[in-house]
Amino acid sequence: MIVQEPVQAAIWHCLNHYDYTDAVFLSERLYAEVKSDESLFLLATAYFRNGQKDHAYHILKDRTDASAQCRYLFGICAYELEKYAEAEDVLLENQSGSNSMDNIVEEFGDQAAFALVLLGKIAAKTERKARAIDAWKRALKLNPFLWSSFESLCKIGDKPNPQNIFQINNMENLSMCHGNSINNIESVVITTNAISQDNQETFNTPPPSQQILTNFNPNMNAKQLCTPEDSPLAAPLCMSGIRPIQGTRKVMRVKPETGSNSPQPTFGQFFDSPSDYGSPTFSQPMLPGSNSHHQSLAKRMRAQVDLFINRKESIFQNCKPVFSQSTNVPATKTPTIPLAIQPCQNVRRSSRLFSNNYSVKENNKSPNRNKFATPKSPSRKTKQRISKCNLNKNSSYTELNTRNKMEKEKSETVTSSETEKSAIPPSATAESCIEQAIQMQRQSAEGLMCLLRDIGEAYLDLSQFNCVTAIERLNSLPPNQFNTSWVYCLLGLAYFEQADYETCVKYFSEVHDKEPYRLEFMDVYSTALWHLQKEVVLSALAQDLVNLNKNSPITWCVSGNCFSLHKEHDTAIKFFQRAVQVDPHFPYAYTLLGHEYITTEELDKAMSCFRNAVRLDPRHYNAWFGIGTIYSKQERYRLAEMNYAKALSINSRSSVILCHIGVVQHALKETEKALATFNTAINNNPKSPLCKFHRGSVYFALGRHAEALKELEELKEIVPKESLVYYLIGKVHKKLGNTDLALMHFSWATDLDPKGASSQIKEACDPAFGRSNPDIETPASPSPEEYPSESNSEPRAAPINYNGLPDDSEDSF
Amino acid sequence: MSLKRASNVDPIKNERAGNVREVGSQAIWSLSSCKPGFGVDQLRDDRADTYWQSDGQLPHLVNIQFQRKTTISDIYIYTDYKLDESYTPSRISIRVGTHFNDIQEIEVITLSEPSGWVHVPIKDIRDKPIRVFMIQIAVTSNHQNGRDTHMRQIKIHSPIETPNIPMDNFLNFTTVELQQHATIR
Repeated sequence: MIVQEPVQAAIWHCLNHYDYTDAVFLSERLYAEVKSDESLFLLATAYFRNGQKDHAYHILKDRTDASAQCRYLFGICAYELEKYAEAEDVLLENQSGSNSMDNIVEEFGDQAAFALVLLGKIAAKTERKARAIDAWKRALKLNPFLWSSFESLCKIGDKPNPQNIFQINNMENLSMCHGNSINNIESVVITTNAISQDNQETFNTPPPSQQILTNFNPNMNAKQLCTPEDSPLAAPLCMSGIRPIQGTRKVMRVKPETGSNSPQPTFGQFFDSPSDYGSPTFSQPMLPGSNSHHQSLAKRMRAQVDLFINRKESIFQNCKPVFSQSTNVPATKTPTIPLAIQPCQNVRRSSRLFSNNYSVKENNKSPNRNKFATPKSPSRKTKQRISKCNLNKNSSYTELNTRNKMEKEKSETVTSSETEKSAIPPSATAESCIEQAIQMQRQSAEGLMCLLRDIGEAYLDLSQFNCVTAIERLNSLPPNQFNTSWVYCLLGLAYFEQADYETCVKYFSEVHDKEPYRLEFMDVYSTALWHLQKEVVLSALAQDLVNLNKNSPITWCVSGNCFSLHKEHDTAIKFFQRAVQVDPHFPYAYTLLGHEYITTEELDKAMSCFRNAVRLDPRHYNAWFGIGTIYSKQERYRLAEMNYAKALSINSRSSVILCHIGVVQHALKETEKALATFNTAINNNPKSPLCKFHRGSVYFALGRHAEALKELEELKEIVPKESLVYYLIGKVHKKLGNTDLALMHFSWATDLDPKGASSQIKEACDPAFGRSNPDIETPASPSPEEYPSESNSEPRAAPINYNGLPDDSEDSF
Repeated sequence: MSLKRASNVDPIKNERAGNVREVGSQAIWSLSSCKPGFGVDQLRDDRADTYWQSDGQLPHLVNIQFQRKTTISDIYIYTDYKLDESYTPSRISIRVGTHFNDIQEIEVITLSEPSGWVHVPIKDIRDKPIRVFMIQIAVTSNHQNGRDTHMRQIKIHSPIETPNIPMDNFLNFTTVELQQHATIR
């Protein structure tokens, strides 16, 4: 044992400071020395964080007797390496035969929530939707901080109820979220030896990893860890060995900034009350941040700091035994308890305090990070602010709370109250301090939960495509949260789904200006720009992203969109293929690639792309829409209609999909249905020009000219520059016999579109002169837009041209 | 060296305009003869500084065979008298058909010190683009009676058709306001 501890502590130290090479080296040596579970776990963690997932996978592979944390890490490695069956097996290893997840909680303790999240992800990848939903729901019940599970539930089509999910019901729950926070408390500053005695007594169960105060080499790290000029923050920080450099000063500076910028956050800032160190003067009950005035906060801070400076000597001495948890410094009074885990915890804990890093594990998927951090990593701004808040925390309780990292600590059954009690010097205010601490903890968590509930509602609405409600909810978030990139991106996405591309682009451009290095959702932004045909902005965006990160599929999607807009489809295809190569699990890349293939008429390749997209994400309605488009190009209208209907079932409010369905129905000669569909589309989205246009053309095809005319006239108001509108009006007039009006509209149409890209205008001349009506002769669908089929590359004739094209419209290949 | 755009002939511009598509990539190219290192790849690499050099007897042939009957609207050939002098073709015959034994000459063009892209529009007697399985570009004589020929680049354009389907009308709106709603991407 003696061999392990300092080395382990050193390894964790390296890991916490991102020096993975050394960590790997040291853990290899340690493992060679002591082949225990713990050292194996450490070795695997070092490999994993160093990016050597396969190495970690292989060393953990065949250990049947591995501890829960090893199994969990193995599960993660296997998942990353796409070995889903093995991952699942190892997580469910000790389940009695059945596939149930009921025993996970006992098995994994603190890690149970994460194990469940992983099980859910595995089930999702292996297309077991119900099981995935079940797993994620359980995970959320255990640990409501896991926003990503909520997101996954929404994405997979389930409708979780944020009000129920994001609740902190009892302290037990909270402790589960924090991992061994309760445990962590002991490592916190313990001012007198007597306290440590208390620690001993007040534990219900003897947790293996509780006492830091083991005898070992007290001075070795202490010197390194603490410096005399420690700021109040320093004291606890010493534990991690982090020099709490200029902590105080930082604190001071920071306070006014954070305070003045925004109203107090509802969570994350309230642990300013310095009710630690047992000083009676500090046991001012402190309300959650939202209620506190930042000035008083600053005052308290200053007072606190002063006090700490005065007491730092004593603290220092007292802390010394505590500090070297990494080295298991013993308190003279307490017996040594071999701490396999504790040193690591402690080191990590304090580093967490300052770095506000979200995970000790790099691939920590759960956003259950620092409780003070916002759940989904939104903007750096908020993060910084919160980390600054963290710096302000002087109390030991803040450390308690900041150590809420879910790790592999063995779960404790000690309730927080007990442990907190233990950490307090035996002063009169000890108990009340603890209660305050608990109170504050709860309030902080509650603040976060409140936010999560709101965001959860908005996100749920968005994933069900209730865009309007989603936008409302997002707009009603508190301003400091609202001004984060993530929320803006969600708003942009909501507008995008409504096909309101202008507003969408507005939000996204703000996001991009604020944070040019943010990559998520930029693919949506690029598609919106593509729709709006804003070439310059899109090119600039593509350039920025390519310079930023060539390894993300989003970059290549954006570049592909850019080239597609420039009509260089081959290059666009090349880039989308690159996006697929970079990340084969990104469905949107496949969808975009499919659309490009459609444009280059490679329909079979397009079909396979869309199918891939759908396989990856069955709710990706763009892909279903693409499949429908392919079928409609192949004139298999029934199949097209089915696929469009599938897309519609996912996103029921999209008027574009409804339009397409209407057109297909019309092609199938089910005009009544088509009209009904168009009516629905227009009801959903009264200003949508596309629906009006198609409804007008259907009326025209049906011979209901008056209605057609009315429709098209309205459309003319909405979109005055669209040549096709005038062309259609011209045709209606022609049908009605108003030749002069018809000619007028045709000439307007040609004016607006001189290139005649809509080659339909060529026919304008013939009907204008009462020649045989091409309508009647058109073999296929009656829709007026059929004309182009007959004249592929006609030289464009002016509307009035007797000589031109006598035979054209009648000819067909 | 980038391909020079003659004043009025620019195949790329038309491609960008969205009316036509370059379909050479859908075809199989073969040559009657070539010097090693100066073959089909150099003819199709989008670079004006590489060229095909034939190595046999006149007429020199470029055969382009499609897998399906393809509509062809234009052929563009890039040659440069200043660089190639006697290697520059002076008379080119375009033959089309279904296979080697079933092709007919539809076009003969005479070049006189060309420098850049030469545009050969392809139309049948009814002035419509033709639908063929195979195109053969034959160089029947060169400038200064040279024996071999250099050809730097060839592009084949096919019009983007709007077939008989209502769907495609979606893509033809002129204004952005309507076009943005035309489809889901």
